[in-house]
Amino acid sequence: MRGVVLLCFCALVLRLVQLQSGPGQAYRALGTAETTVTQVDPASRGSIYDRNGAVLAMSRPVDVLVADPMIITDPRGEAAVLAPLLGMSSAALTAMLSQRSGYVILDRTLDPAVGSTIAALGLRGLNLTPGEERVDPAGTLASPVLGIVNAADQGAAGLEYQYQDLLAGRAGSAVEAVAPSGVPIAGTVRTTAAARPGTGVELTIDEPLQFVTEQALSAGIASSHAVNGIAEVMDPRTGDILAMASMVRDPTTGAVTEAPQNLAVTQVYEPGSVFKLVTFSAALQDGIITPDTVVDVPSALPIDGAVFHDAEAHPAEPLTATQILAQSSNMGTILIAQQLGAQRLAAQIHLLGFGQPTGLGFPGASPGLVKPVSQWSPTAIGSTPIGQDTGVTAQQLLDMFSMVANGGVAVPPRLVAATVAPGGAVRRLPRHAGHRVVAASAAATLAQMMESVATPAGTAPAAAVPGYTVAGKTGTSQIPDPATGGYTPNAFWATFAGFAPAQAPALACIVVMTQPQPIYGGSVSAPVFSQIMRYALHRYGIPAPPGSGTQPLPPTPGSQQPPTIGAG
Amino acid sequence: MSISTLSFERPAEGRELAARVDIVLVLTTLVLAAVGVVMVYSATRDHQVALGLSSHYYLYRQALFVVLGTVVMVALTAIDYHWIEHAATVLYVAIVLALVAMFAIGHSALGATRWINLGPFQFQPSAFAVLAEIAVVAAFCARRTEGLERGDIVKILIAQAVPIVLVVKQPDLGSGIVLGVVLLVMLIMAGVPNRYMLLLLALAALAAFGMIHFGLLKHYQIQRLTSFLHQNTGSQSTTYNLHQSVAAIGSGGMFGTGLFKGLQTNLAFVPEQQTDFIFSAVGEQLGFVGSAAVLVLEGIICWRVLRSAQVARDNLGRLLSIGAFTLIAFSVFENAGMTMGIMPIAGIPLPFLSYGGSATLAFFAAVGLALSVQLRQR
Repeated sequence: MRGVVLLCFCALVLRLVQLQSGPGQAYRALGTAETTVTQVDPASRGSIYDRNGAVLAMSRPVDVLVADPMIITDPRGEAAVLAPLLGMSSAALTAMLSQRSGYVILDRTLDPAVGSTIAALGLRGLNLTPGEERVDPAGTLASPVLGIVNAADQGAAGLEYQYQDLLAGRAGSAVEAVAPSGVPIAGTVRTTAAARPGTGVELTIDEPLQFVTEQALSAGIASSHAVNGIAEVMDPRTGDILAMASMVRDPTTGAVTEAPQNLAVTQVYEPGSVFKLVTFSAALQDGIITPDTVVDVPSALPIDGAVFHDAEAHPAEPLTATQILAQSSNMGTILIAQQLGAQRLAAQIHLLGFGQPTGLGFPGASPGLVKPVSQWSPTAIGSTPIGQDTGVTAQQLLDMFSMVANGGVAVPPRLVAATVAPGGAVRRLPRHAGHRVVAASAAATLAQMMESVATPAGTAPAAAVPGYTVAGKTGTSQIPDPATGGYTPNAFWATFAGFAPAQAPALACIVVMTQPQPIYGGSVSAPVFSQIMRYALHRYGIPAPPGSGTQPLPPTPGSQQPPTIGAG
Repeated sequence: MSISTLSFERPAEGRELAARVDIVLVLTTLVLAAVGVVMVYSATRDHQVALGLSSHYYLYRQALFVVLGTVVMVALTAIDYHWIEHAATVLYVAIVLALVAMFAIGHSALGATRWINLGPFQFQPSAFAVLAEIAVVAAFCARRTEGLERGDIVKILIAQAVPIVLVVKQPDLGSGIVLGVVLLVMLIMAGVPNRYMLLLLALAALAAFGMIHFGLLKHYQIQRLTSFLHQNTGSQSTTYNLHQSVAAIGSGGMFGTGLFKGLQTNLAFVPEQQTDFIFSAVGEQLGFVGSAAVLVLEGIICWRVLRSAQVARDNLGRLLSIGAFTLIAFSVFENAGMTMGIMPIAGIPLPFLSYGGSATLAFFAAVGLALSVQLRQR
């Protein structure tokens, strides 16, 4: 008898232990889930500013108005009251309130003041929840860079995605007891975590320059009927990206709008002749050439069965290295590259950052496509120096031009200059340290050689900026056709990249267009480059070197107090 | 039975007896009953306020029941238990009449007719049916010192079948189960010959089968009884109470959420938490420490009552204490077990904790009987 009783009591205590100690966690969770409800207190999202503090993206508080038609007994009456407040027709609202649904969103971005008015009406079956709406005061300006915030207030693309953790802050939460019927019990709210507003970011982008860049690029795309285009301006000394534009043209309407993605870092393409800078920088660095080194350029150059030509047929002729660059001679460049050798060329490609991330960390950014030298075909020593066989992004090309402009020191690019705490405290982010890629003398020589490109003797006289000297390089490359494995007929990428003033470079810029007419970088991209640089040089008050030109500066609007470049 | 046959102790003898009373049993009972009053208050306070009623309503009533119960306990302790030999028949007839009367004048609550209204109070005869059973069976068997014959067993079974069926018909299945268990244990302890033992068990099984088969038990009763066997598959309606109770006890953890601070119990997620599911309130608000302490106190009461059976002077005392012990011990095991999901759910109160006048009085009376037996030991 006693044994049985003892066993029974032991069973009770054991069950008690099971329920109330470690293994009973599930029961506790069940209990908590039933008796409490967690209210989320959303944190306000940080703003995105340009380098001058102008707001590019910000969040404003809104109310989300949701109806529960299941418990609305008088949809017509409620619609009549709500319609003027929501700016909707009474008939449409009546239809929404009469749906067989328990959840109908009436307004996702309701002004909180209107929300309060509606709440005060005490209508049946309406629910107001605080939320936020992301607004871009500058419209679609720089939208491929800024990215997207989705309906759940989460960054879904671009910087909004990249800096989601920083911008979003941390939502607060409060726990409230509920009665068995599910009704929250007044006075039981207990804040478990206070909402922490998001931190803002200040970009290196300069809003006025961004605007001019987008306008100039749009006009260039529209007039050349290109599929899309990229234009980017950078301070070669700091790596600050001042403008970053990606535009697409609607093939049916012809309208040019911001691209859905930041093509400057996502579009990988064969750059063509702009890539000749790799060969020239290495050859100058190694002392293989000087600007005046004469190369005997044949009329055709066979390599392992393939025959290389120049863009325009010519008899065999002696050309100086400067002339080869200015006229963009394929065979001349290949002959110099052959002196460097495949190993040295591949090493220089790597040294200049091709095939590697740029350090921006931008969502979806491509490192490009660079073949290791072990996989080079026998004809690669002919195709690689002239910008075939290698996939690059516009950002990587601009980095290379910036390096030359900066006297051989590469400074990694950056888009974010500072963070802005919710209280307004601005914390400047340290600049990236640069690293030397080629000798200062080699860079200076190369810059000097590149000056001839933007002259009537070169491939891009249209790139010239009145009053300044421009150093640059054109590129016109065929677009591969994945279907055939060859190139698409009559489809080209047109590139112009360069910097100014050539002797004391302050700004570097690249313009790339896909499938323009005419096809040449010197014809379609160079004029856009020129337009952007005219404005930018003036905006930042870059002095023209003495004796570099006699033409007066063109007038630019709104530049009474231009911000100092690099101040960020 | 006549008053003259009751043997009161003389005053001097009374004082001497009082010194020998099982103080552990008395104190444990009173402490547990006090805990019960507090827990009933905690389980009802907020709900009463929410209904706009006096928050102290249940507190005062349960306190009154405990005082009345203490009086009954002291009285039964003071009186020599041998009065039962003479009163058994009267008690039996009285309880059967009361149970029959139930069908005519009973007061219904929660779909059952278990109570007779007595002014502001309700009297629940089925709670006292067990006491009557203990008295009747003990008195009858005490006279059969040589053991029970077949005829005796048949007589007892037939006599006790009447109140059991009446109670189950109310329906008060829980009390019916207690009646059956107490009867079984008392018969065994009274000395059922081994050859009848199996027969007795078979009969119990047959009775259970018959109740189910002939519709004496409703479908919902069977579902509720068996819901603890399939806690995750049963419908919400049969497992709701069980899940809420288990979640409440699980929420208590080591030290509980604090008195009056149980979300599950104070917010009335657990139904019937002041009566049959009071242990869930203890579990949530007082945690493992509190609920284990309650079980230990219940255990001490069981142990001391069982001990009174061991020291009993005669067979009557022994069987009375066995009956009282079985009533309390089975109620504790069944009730606490059911709130934790290891026993079937049946309407059996937790001794000294569950709210309810009749049950409280009956449990105090059971302890009183055991004390009376203990005082007059060999």
